[in-house]
Amino acid sequence: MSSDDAIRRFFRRHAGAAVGMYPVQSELDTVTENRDELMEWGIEQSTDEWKPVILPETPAHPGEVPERFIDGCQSGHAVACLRAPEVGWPIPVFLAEVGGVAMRLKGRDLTRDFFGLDRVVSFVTDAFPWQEVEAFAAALANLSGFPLRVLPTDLPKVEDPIDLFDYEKMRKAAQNRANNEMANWEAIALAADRTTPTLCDGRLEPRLRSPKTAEQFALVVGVVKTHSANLLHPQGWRTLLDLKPGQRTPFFKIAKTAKGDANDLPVGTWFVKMASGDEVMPNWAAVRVEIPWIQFRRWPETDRTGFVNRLSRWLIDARCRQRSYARMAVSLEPIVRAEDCLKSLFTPFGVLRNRFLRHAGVIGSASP
Amino acid sequence: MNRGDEKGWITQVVAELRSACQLPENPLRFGPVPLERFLGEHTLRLVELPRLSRAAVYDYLLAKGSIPGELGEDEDLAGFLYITGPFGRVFVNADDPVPRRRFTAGHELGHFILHRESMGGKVSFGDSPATVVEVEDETAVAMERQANRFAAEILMPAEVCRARAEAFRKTYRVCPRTPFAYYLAAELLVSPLAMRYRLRDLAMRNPSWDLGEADE
Repeated sequence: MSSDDAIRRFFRRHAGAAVGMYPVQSELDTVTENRDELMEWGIEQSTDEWKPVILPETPAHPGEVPERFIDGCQSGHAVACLRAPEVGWPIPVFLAEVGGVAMRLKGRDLTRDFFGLDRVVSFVTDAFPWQEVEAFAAALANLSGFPLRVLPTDLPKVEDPIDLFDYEKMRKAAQNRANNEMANWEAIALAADRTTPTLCDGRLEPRLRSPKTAEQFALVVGVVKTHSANLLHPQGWRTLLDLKPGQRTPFFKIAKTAKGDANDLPVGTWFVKMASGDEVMPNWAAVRVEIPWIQFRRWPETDRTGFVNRLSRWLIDARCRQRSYARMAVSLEPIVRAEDCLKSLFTPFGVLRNRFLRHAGVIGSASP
Repeated sequence: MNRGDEKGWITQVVAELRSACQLPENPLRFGPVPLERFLGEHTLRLVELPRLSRAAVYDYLLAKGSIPGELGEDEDLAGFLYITGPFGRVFVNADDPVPRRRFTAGHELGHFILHRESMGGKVSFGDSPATVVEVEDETAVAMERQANRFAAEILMPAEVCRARAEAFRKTYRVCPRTPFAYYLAAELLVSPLAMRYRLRDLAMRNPSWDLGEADE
């Protein structure tokens, strides 16, 4: 039996149909996650007396600022929909190219140091008999000239099973799985050089995973642009909202869970206001900076404020200044360049989609 | 039998099984090991039941016209092996994630291959989630430990793991254990944790590409 036969059989058996590009819909109901981070706010300033820290112009010391920059990218979309046997849940099939790239600063030049790319298919595999998933995954992995890796995806956690009929929840689970794979590529890019100070776009925990791993690296800095978790206390929020460009909040520690699980990655963290603008939201242009706590401790306590100031100043100087770039205010120029570099290696998504649907024996609409 | 001999025995049994089923380790072929075909070659029928328990197995067998006999005190199960003469049924809990279900099915196949002769008239093996352990468990009793080792051996072939690590290192200069385990786990349709332990077990680590992990 050819690979195409197995793929088509899976699609036929589970009512596979192509889906077009569509605007992302909101979920029927959002499940609130219980957060369990432990915060230590009172390290640099007393918690109740937090106030903005003005950044001096002091230049950074050698080894204190990044010379290597890591970014990941995921270019994907749900391209087809299956129906789970018996229960009938809609199961979007998410096709994506994912990868990670590292850029190295040499003098004034940024050069590509590492890249890894992968074509993947993620969907909620748990809804299907395992032997069918096994045959489908094997067939996709051995497609001649167009191998695809299946990323098995767990059922999303819902409070009421009826929520599993929500297409958007299923799509998001598949997309998150592809994003996890992207983070895995970033972890690989990070591991390719442990001795150079490195900056990652995003949280460090998915890339470093544990203090023991972090300890083996020179400085690793994470810059988080979107702030989904509430990490601050009321005075902390007031301080953040009061920040002017060139200022930061006091640094604090996030020790991830009260249980102290082995894979927790405690970090030292703070917010930096990168830029100003007219008629913008008060939290605009604020990024959160993370450093593994185990690395943060390499600086003597008396110099930690100075180190945080110097690194923050460097980040402000390295910010992206292209007005055409939508996230200019919170982006760093080397990361924008890394993203551009990686995206240029991707196959046009329409080509990917059409090839996949052809192998699946599903007639799709014109390529997007 | 000491642990070293046990490892060697199971490796040998799995190698003979691959040869008998004409499903050799083949690093040139990508994707998960076709476990279903191994089960099929042994006339083992696969049954996935939600909320698997001894009572659910009993009811199922009864509905299929079997007279199950004594299956033991009711409890929640990850897997169950039921043998009638040369035939058998492998039950797995349909509520578990796919990688876990495959590991459980491999575990039950392990009981069938390794322990069928020593069952002494017993017709079933019931495995609670605690006995199907995807990682090394020193406390597991011998039969359960052997079935777990069998599942790891068949689902994560040594030659494939080594070939993938070698190719990975050649392409990317590094092969950090945890991210590589995540990468390979997806291809072989096993859990990342099981993959990490398998890689460790294969002694594939060396200082040049091991990130070092908290679980060590």
